[in-house]
Amino acid sequence: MNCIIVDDEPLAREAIQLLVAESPGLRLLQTFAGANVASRFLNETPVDLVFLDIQMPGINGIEFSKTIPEKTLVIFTTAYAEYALDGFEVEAVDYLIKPVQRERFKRAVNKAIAYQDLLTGGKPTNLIENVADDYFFVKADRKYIKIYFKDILFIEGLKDYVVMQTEQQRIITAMNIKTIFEQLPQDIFVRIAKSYIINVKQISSFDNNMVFIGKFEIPIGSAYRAFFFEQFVTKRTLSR
Amino acid sequence: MLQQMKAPRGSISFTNDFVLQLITGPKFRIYRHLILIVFLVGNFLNSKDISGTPANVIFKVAAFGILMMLFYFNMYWLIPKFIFKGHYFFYFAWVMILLVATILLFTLMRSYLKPYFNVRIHEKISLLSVALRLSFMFFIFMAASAALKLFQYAVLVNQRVNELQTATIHSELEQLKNQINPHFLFNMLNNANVLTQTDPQKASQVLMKLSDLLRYQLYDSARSKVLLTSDIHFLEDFLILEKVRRDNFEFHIVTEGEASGVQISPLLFITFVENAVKHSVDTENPSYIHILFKIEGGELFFNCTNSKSRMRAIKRREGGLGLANVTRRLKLLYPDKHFLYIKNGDELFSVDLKLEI
Repeated sequence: MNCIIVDDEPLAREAIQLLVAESPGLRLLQTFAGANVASRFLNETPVDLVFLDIQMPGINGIEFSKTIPEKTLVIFTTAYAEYALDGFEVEAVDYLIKPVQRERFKRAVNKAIAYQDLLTGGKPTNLIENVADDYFFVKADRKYIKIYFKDILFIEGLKDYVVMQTEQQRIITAMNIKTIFEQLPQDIFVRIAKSYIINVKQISSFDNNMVFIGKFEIPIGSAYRAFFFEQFVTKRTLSR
Repeated sequence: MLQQMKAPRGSISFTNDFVLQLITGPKFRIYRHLILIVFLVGNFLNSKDISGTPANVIFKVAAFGILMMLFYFNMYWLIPKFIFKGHYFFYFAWVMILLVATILLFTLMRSYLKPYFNVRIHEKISLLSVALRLSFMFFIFMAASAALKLFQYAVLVNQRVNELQTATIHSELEQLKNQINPHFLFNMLNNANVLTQTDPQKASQVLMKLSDLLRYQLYDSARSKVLLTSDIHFLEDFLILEKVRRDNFEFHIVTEGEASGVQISPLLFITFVENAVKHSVDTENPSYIHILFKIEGGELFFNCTNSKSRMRAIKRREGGLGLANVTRRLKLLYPDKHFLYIKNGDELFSVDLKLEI
């Protein structure tokens, strides 16, 4: 994967650079101190992945990400957790909080690689059919797979696809996250970010910014936070 | 932008304070009451006799008792219960009832003591004129006691308002000082983390500067006055750290005159320097900040000039103190003793601040 780093601070660029150097799947093309120069580069050179600082002078990283070509994936980097959640209001693969832990960085990169495979691998032909009260069928390669709603841990949206994660498998279908959300029972599925729907019955734990389901951590988007806490936390939290 | 600040309100002088104490202070309470009683008794002894003793004595003692009762009843019950609580109608009604009661009481007394009065004098005075005189006396007494009580009340309220204002100003000052920019802090920690791998010596230097910076900002600045030299040192640490964060950034701090021993309010200049940093950030072109401190003839002259970035500055969410806050602090700390001139040019941004020290 070809990648670039955009960050106004020289040492912050160096930090990501060191981590990229350790990742065999990544090839660093160039680093940029500002969005303007990076933008020019992106228009001329195909780039698979951008490590993008959110807080930069001139143009804000989130605004900048909206001008990045469709095919290019974005991983936000920020020293300030508050901004990270804004990052999920636009379609980002992941966000990293500086200083970035090596393990965390690896996970984000693996996710990006998996997404790229998905995006370049051609459209999956999986289709959702026969939606019943508590299950539906997904048609994949002439085979119908039965999936119970209760088994879905969470659903992740990525551009034109959704990824349904269950305990055993990931099912990818060509579908918009909004469309699938409308077909799901609203009492157990909640949208908690622009690109995440979770099954509230599967929640292991949560804090102000994150929901944890098993080994997965899912960010709560700032636009969805109030609703989530009101509907599914306040009501279900026992008060003393 | 040109700003000049007004003089503060004059403080209450010592004699003024003494008179206030005399009228409202609790330790003078007994004297105040004694003065009233002596004055009343003196007045009665001095007044013309309307009849022979002992009727005269009985009448005077009774009148004295009634007036005192009215006076204290008004001061300690009617006014606190009705006037202070805003029930003016009820107060007025009570006063009217008391007036009628007083007139009735005097009339009763008069008819009871009638046999003992000197009849000739007594017949000259009609009931109506007695009532009028009584009403006049009554209202003077009520008004006097009300005026005293209300004056005491007004002084107390005024004092409380002043205390509240002072307290608010103090807490506001504390708040204005104690704003640490978390974005700066986290980015510095990230930078230090990188440097531990690439340049451990520099990493150590950054961490030392950072801890100096935080110590100053958290603890030293809690004092009302600090040494100018330590404030300058703080600015220098801040700019050294800023230099680590940026490409193509230069800064100079020059001090002219005798800076040692000069004391100032803490964290005044950092606001201007933070502002200069914010507006000079330019990732494509070189940027600089020049700072001058000059001490001359009891005045401290400060200038901070920075190159202006052609980029839009990072939004306010980053934190920091802000120019609006510093002008407010200057107003509170150096009323009428400072001069601030901010020049926003095309290429340069410059702040001139003069303080009397």
